[in-house]
Amino acid sequence: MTTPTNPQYDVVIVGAGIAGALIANELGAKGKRVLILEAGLDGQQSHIDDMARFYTAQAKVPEAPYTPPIVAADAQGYQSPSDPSSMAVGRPSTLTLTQGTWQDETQSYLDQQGPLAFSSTYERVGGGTMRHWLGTSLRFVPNDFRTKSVYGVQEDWPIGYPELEPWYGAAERAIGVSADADDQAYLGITFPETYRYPMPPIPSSLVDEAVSAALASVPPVDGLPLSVSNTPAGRNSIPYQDRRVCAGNTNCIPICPIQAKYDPTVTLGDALQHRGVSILYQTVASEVLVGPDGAVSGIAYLQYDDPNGPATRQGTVTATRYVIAGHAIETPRLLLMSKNGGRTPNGVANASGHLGQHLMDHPIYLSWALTKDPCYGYRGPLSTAGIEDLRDGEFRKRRAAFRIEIGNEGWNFAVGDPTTTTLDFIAGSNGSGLNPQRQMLANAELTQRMNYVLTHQFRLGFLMEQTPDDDCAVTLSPTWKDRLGLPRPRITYNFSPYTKMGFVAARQTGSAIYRAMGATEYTVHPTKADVGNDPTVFAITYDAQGRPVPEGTTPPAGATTEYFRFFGAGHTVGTYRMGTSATDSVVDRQQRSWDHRNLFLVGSGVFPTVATGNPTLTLAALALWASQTILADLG
Amino acid sequence: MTTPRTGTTAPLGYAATADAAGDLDDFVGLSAALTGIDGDQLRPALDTYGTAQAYLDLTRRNEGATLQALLAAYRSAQGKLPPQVATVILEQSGDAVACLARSVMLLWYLAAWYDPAKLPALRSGPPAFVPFTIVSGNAYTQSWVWSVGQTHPMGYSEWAFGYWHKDPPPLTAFIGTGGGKPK
Repeated sequence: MTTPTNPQYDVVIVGAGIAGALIANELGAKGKRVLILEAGLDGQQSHIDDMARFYTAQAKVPEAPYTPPIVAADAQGYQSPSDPSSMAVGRPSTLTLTQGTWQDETQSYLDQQGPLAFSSTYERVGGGTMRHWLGTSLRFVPNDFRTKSVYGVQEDWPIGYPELEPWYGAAERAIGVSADADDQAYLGITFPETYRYPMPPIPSSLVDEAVSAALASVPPVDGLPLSVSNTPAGRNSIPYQDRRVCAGNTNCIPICPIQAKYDPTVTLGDALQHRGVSILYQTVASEVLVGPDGAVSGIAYLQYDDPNGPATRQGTVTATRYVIAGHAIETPRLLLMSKNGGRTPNGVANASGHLGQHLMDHPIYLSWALTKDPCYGYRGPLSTAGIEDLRDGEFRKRRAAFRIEIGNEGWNFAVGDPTTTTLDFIAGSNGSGLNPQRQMLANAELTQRMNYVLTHQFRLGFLMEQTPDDDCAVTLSPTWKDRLGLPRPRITYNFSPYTKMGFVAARQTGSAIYRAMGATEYTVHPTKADVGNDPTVFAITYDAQGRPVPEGTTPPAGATTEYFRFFGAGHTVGTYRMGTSATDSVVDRQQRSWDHRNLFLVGSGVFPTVATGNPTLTLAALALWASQTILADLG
Repeated sequence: MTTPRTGTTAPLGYAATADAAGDLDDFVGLSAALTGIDGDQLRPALDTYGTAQAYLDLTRRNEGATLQALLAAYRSAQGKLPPQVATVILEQSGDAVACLARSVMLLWYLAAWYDPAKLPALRSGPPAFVPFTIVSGNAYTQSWVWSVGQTHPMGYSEWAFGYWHKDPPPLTAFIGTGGGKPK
């Protein structure tokens, strides 16, 4: 291996996702010298290949289009997960969340210690995880930043909505968000009087309208009436940033065929147009180096040629300021790996001991039904509207808040349709629950039955607020390594009773909506036998007053136990939270490390709480804010 | 994105292939009777994808002997209406022919090849995963289940902004009037 000599940079950024790309673009526009280190492959030139991989993927999971391929085919052509220990840059997959795979070193990239499986995945490629994002660009509601002071639960942020508001606007322009400010001014969200989103809203779907029409007859939930809101979307309703308008490919996750949905390669491309901005792909930061003065003095990296091969070069880059933008799992992994010859035995930026803790997601409660009249799913963007009324309220004193995402993709998420139902009615199975008679149909009987089912399917996804808990943490696996010899992330993960009680409210709310719609619900609930066998299933017992019964105690008379399956939302949050003191947080309100003042940690890892909105817009706003702090530092 | 192939415009292109015995015509005919989708939709006059030929070739490669039995069953149903043709193939021609017929239906609906020998377990057993392969990217974009649902393949819309706010065209606009003409 060789060690090249590196020129001096103003800023080195680790990670070419949205946070890294936005900061690089802002700094580059001001003439700063910026180097981005991206662990993965160049994802900007591969769109046609990405689409081809998606079309032929047997499991069209979020990771399916992206490089290096998450699966390998056997002699028969059947695809199964690649061994992460053979990959220079591994990543998690939704294919490895089953009992047989989630703790198998040759299947799961993450060393999952449970008791539940962390179920969200991410990409390590140019553009980052937002290559497969949905596009939802919600602002947080003001009370999301102050749950401790308002409701006595979770944590307050060191910043509030009014301070973040201008950065939300900047993020909406950078991404290109389609929405109407009047529609979005709910639960205390405010806009400047003259504010307009960059583009008009995306039209609602017929599914949205079917839900909306029924909500007037749904009883208020915790005193709050429900309504359907158009979802602000990072997809084009008019041409924007030289990209065309949405054609409703119903494929935002995992990939928009026409890039009508924003992804960070757009900003990355802009950033790389600046004379001072450059990028090294296939370059894995392996240690953050700290000098005798306590400041970060460089970043050591490994490079590889073959995605399934070893490191072939190594080096160190130096700069005035350093930004780690590797998100809530890879950022703490890098910092924890950085021992500096034993001088930082607990890792860099970890004097508080909180680095890696408070890993969160929006675990999803998923329910599904057939509408009374056709609602014509599988059309339009994957989601165009939601029910946002339950993102905040007095109920937050005792259980988790959630938003409800209305799906436009039939039962694709729910049961893997249309494949599952097609198999059912052609081969006589009943994977969908729609064919209990095990019919095997053909000709017009088949087309009529399939047409009825597919045009009546829809689902609701409940994105649950998860509490920041010390026992949900990222550490380093003591034994599992990637192809470069670096330790893979070890994860412990669980839900608090507060989070679990949100699922109970979600189930009740979903069923009430289906009843009001005259829809027939087909949600499959797990059973007691699944607890402990399926790492995506948990139980919650609550008393007659709706209070959770502590685990290990005898439930009182009248107690109820429910079993839930959850899904990951892809929202990896927490692990290097911002706060007001160096003892209880990892970064300050500027996203600057308390311990190393020339080091910034950005991305959704800084969130003290996961709140109730999809995290992208908030993390983008925070990244833009951080870029101005860094510029001020540089003078 | 899918680029239409050139130089394979049917039927002239197919006439030059090894289907002198009319296998392709009969394969399309039996496929229409089974799937409920018109034969001239499965194999349009200007067929830029050649899906029918590709599926026939694939079926011949994987299950050559049973394919001949399937074609023979179809030919034996001369003069019957499409639903009756489907009944002859699926219920009166033996298990091997019926299973291959189901695999051919899955090909058309999902662009996926399922081993016919693995299908019977689906009906009798608990929910199980049966491995499959996607024939090709082009085949995925031409898979028919989406048309039966009055929509487009996920990831392959040829429609314009906002279409999802309106009702789709009727089912007949997607799949024709029901499985083709009498044999």
